[in-house]
This record gives sequence, structure tokens and C-alpha cells, in this order.
Amino acid sequence: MESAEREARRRALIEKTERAKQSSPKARQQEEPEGTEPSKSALEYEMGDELTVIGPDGTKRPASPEESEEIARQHIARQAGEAITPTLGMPVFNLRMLADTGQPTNEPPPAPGSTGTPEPTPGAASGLTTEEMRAERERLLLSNEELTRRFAKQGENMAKRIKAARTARGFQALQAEIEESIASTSTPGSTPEPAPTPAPAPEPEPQSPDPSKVVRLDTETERPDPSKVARLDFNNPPELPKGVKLLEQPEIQANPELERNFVRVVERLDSVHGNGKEVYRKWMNKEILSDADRQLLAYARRDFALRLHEGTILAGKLNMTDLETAMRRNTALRDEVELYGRERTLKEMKKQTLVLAMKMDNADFQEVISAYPILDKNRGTRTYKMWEWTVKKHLEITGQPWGYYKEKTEGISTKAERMKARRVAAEEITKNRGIVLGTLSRYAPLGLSPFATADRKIRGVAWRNRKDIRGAKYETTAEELMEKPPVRLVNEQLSVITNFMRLTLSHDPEVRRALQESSGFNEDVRPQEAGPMTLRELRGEKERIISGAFSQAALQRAFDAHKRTVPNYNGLSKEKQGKVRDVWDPPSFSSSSGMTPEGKERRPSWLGRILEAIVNALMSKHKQNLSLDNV
Amino acid sequence: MYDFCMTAEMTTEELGAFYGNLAALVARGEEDEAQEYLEHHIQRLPDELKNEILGTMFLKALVDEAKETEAIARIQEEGMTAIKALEVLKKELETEEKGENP
Repeated sequence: MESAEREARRRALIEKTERAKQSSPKARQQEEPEGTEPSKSALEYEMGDELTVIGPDGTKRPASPEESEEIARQHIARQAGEAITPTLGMPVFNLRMLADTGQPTNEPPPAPGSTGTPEPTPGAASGLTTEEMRAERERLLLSNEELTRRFAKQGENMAKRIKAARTARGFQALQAEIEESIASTSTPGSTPEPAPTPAPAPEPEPQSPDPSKVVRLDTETERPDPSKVARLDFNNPPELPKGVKLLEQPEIQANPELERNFVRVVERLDSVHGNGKEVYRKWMNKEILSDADRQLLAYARRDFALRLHEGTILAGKLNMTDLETAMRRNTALRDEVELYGRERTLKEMKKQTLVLAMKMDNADFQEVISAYPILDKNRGTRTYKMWEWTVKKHLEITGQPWGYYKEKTEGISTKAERMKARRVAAEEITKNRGIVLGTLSRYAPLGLSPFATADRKIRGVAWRNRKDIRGAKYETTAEELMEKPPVRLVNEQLSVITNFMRLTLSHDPEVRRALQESSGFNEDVRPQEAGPMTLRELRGEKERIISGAFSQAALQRAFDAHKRTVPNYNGLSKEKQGKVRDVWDPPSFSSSSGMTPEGKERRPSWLGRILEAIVNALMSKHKQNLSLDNV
Repeated sequence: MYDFCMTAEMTTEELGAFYGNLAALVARGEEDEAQEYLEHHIQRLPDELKNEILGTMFLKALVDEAKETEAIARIQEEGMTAIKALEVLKKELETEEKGENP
């Protein structure tokens, strides 16, 4: 940017001087006496809205057109690396160098008559000569141009990465990377590899570091390039582990739950491939499928079989111990689980795991399913068990939250800290005792020494706080162990599991609603199915319409059947028979879009709700025309 | 497809046919066509049903609008990410440059 600005300014200057040259050549000739030797004096100039020449005494004046022309000429010659030979009667013009603050350097102007050739610059903080500084400036200008080019290139690369990051997690990862980079570059002048510092104390969140920090560590680098995820190769569908059955399309469609999950896979592939839903719609409407369509469905079936297998394993792995650990790690999850009840929530989590297995993108799902093998491996190590014991001990003995003692015993929990505290206390004591006591203490060190007094005081504090110090020691030990690979890995993977557990409850608001209702009324309320309608349901709807299920005749038949169930219907007055008709609600006539074939309640789409409303209106109209005749 | 060209309220038969046509469009997954068909004939529906449908459509419009706002927000967020990324790159290059020319 800066270099472009300078370049523009330079071009403007050249144009300006060219114009001046054309406008007053005579005047220049008059001012230039023939045969005069070129002036060897040097003057400085400043570039701003207009060129300013700085006199030897420091006074500033606007440059004349001739001076401007000369400055431009000399500037171009300098840029080309040529020797500066001033025009007759003109001095050598040097650009005034500015300090970092933007103020001119304290460099005094060169004495009149000086040659302008490289000469030492007295008083320059850098110790560089004017020529060296000039050369340095030129080099910086060139490197700035190079920098701009590289910046543009890297910008393009970053733009590509942003485009490739299709999922929310991809963006989060990129954002985290950027923020991390900002943090690391925000301290200019800092060395690229900072000196090792003691690990920072963990957040007061119980026995775990910030989960987001943990998840972002090594797992990000292992994650495949999002652009690779986006490119599905339908010729190479996912490999199925041994023993996993590949279901055929009719088998999937025979089971509404399987079909619903299969449609979820199709929808996920659609977000990548952009054609899944359309292909499934064609299949649903018995349209002829192309080879590519069949290939897509074949890919979807394999993907579905794999996700079904992995999702089932994952659901089986979720257990109460991990749920309780996750609750300790995440207070929001704890509050939610305590609200719904542990058993009920875990049951729902397992159910939603299968739904998420179908919906989650590959990278995210792989991260979750790879968490348990790492957990199983590292939880058995001695280091992890020691860490777990220390943490449990801390909680059992003290009953205080993590980090409580560390904060409380800050300054006295270790020997070094106690020694330091003693020195500080001794200084305080000396100061407070005043000059006399201070002087006496030097002559009678035993008992009167401020150090001895301070020692006693600190020991007293340490004794009175011995329980706290023990707690703080547990905390310190656990923190040290936490840095070791097995504990760190378990922590990382538990963060993945915790986040996944939260996702099982948050990915569909309907899950929360059902859990809330279940716990509120202490009964089993299932989440309304918000998933796609199955082929059978859609066809069923179509068939009902074609068969005239909503016709007047069909309703009359149903009402006649109802009349037979009413005791002594024939004996009722016409008015009462009319009331029977009015209160009669024909449930089987409601639109199937609101119900699944198993009778489960379905959350209909907006068009489904409209269809229901029309059916209700239609039924009301039909009801008015129903015959009340005896049966 | 049954054609409704009158302006009076639909008869029961017409309403039945209207339902059949609309349900067929929904079953084929032709949501846009279904919406167009609905809008074309909504004036002839019974008032109570019309109000209910308008309410549902209004809700749908609200949801769509919210989704659109969300999409815009996401795009803006992506834009912010891009700007941040560019800022970081510049900072990194400047730091690198300073390292080369202390």
C-alpha cells in the first residue's frame, strides 16, 4: 500500500516537473549562467502535498519548479543506482529521513558546500551514513513491493481455504487458527520461539482445562482438508468393515426408521453433491433413474450401512460414567442433565447418536468415533490412574472445587514461596518497627531478628492452613500430571465426547422440548419426528386422495359405523342425533402428514399443516351434510 | 388438474379437488408449485380456512426471513473471517520482514 502511494506520488512529481519544464524553459536558462560549475552543496527536501526545500539554517520553503524538476531527476537517478550529478546551479537534494515517530531525525542539515557524496551523518542514532540510509530506504521500498506481492498471493490462498471451509466446524477451526496467529503476532519484536514458561494454571472449571482449547490441539492437524471431504468419489464408496451388512433398497424401505435415517444420509450427501434429494425424489416417484443416479444411491447405501454400524457402536459406548464426567466438565450440560434426569437423558442421547451419525459430516463424525479407542487405551495407564487418584483425593478430602486451594494458599504453599513471603514479611516488620527496633535487632539477632519473626509468622500461617496447603499440593501434582500425554489425550478426547453429548441434545430443539415435557410430567414423551417423510407415508397420502378417503360417502360410512356404537341412537331425538354428529371427531380422516404409520406424532411441514387445515375444513363441510337417519 | 375459475367460495367438491391437487404437488415434492397453486386459489377458500392458511404462510415467511437473515449473518461472518485472515497475513509478513531487517 505504502509503496503504491509512494510510486503514485513519484509519478505525479515527474509529471509536474515535466509540465514545469515545458512551461518555463527560458526562465530556467536565465537563471542558469553559462559556464557555471555545478553546485556541490546539498539541501534536504520533504515530500508532502507539495515539495518543500529545507535550507541550511532549517527554514522551509516550497520548491521552485526548477528545484522540483531537479529533485525528481535526482530521485530517478538514485532509484536507477546512478551517480548523482546535480545540474548547473543546483545542489544535491536529499530526502529528509523521518524517525519512527514520523518526526524528522535530529540529523543537522549538511553544511553548505558539502558534496552530497557519502559522508558520515553526525548524530544519527543508527550510525549509518546518509548514503547508506538512502540505500537502506531503497532496499526497504523494494522489499515492501515484494511483501505486497506475497501478501496478495497468500491472501488468495487464504480465500481458497475460506471457500473450502464449508462446515461450521471448518470455519471455527479456521477462525481459531487465525485468532491464534493474531495472538502470536500481536507482540511485535517478540522472538518467534518464546522461552519456556511454566504452564498456566487451569481454569477453575472442575478437573479439566478449557475443553475448546483441548479439542483444537492435535486433532485439527489430523483433520482432512475440507475440500477433499467435499469431493465425493462415487466410484469409490466407503469400505465396509467385515461383517457389516449392506442393506438393499427394499430392505431399507421396509423399515420406516431405517428409511428415515437413509434419507438423512441422502440429505447430507445432497449438501456435498447437490443432487441427492432430487435423485431420491425421482426414485420415490417411480421415475427412470440414470446410471449416475443409481451410483449415487449405491454410494448412499454403503455410507448409510457404515454410519449405522459406527453409530450403533458409538451409542453403545456412551455410558453413565462418561456422562457424569462430561457434566463435571461442562456446567451447561450438568444443568440440563440434572433438569431432565440422568437415565432419561442418556437414553435420549443414545437415540440421537444414531440420528447424528447420519447427519454429521465425515470429519466431525470421525473425530467422535475415534475418541473412544484413545480413551480406552490411555485410561489404563499408570499416569492416568495416578492423576485420577489425585483428583479424587482432592475432592474427597477437601470437598472444594478445583483451583480453590491454589488460590487460597497462593504465596505459601511451596517452600520457595514461603521463603519469599518471609523476606517480604521481614521487610514489612523492619519498616514497621521503626529505626530503633530495627537497629536493636541487628545487635540482638536471636529472637528479635525481623527474619526470625517473619519466619515464625509464616510458619504459623502455614500450620493454620495445613489442610489448604495439602489441597494445593494435590492440585499442583494433578496439574503436573495433566501435562503428561496419557492425561492430556484423555482430556482432549473427553472434550470431544462432552461436545458430542451436548450436540445430541442441541441439534434438534424438538429433543429438548420432549425431554423437558417428559421430566415435567414424569412420563415418556417422544420427540416429534421432524425427519423426512418416508416413501410409504408419501405414497399412502397419495393413495388416500385417489381412493377418495376424504369423500362425503366415505365420511358417511364412517359416521354410520359410529352411530352403531352410540347406545340407543335410533331412540334419540333429531336434535340429540345432531349433537352426536357435531361432537363426533373422525380421527382416521385427519391428514396422514401429521402422523407416521406407527401412529407416532409427526411435526408436519408448513404445507403439511395447510393440508391438515384443508382436510379439517373439508370434514366440517361434509359433516354438515351427513345423514342423521337411523341405523 | 381441476380448474377453479370462479371468484365465489369453493364448494365442498371444489375444496376436495383443491385438496387432492395440492396434496399431489406436496407428495411430488414440488413445494414451489404447491405454494403458487395455493396462492392462486386462496381467495376462494372459506374464510376460516383462509385465515388459518394465511397465518401458516405468515409464519413460514417469518421463518424464511429468519433463515435469510441467518444466511446473511453467516456470509458477513465469513467476510469478517476473510478480513481477519488478511490482516493476520499482513501482520505475519510484516513481522517476518522485521525479523529479516531488524
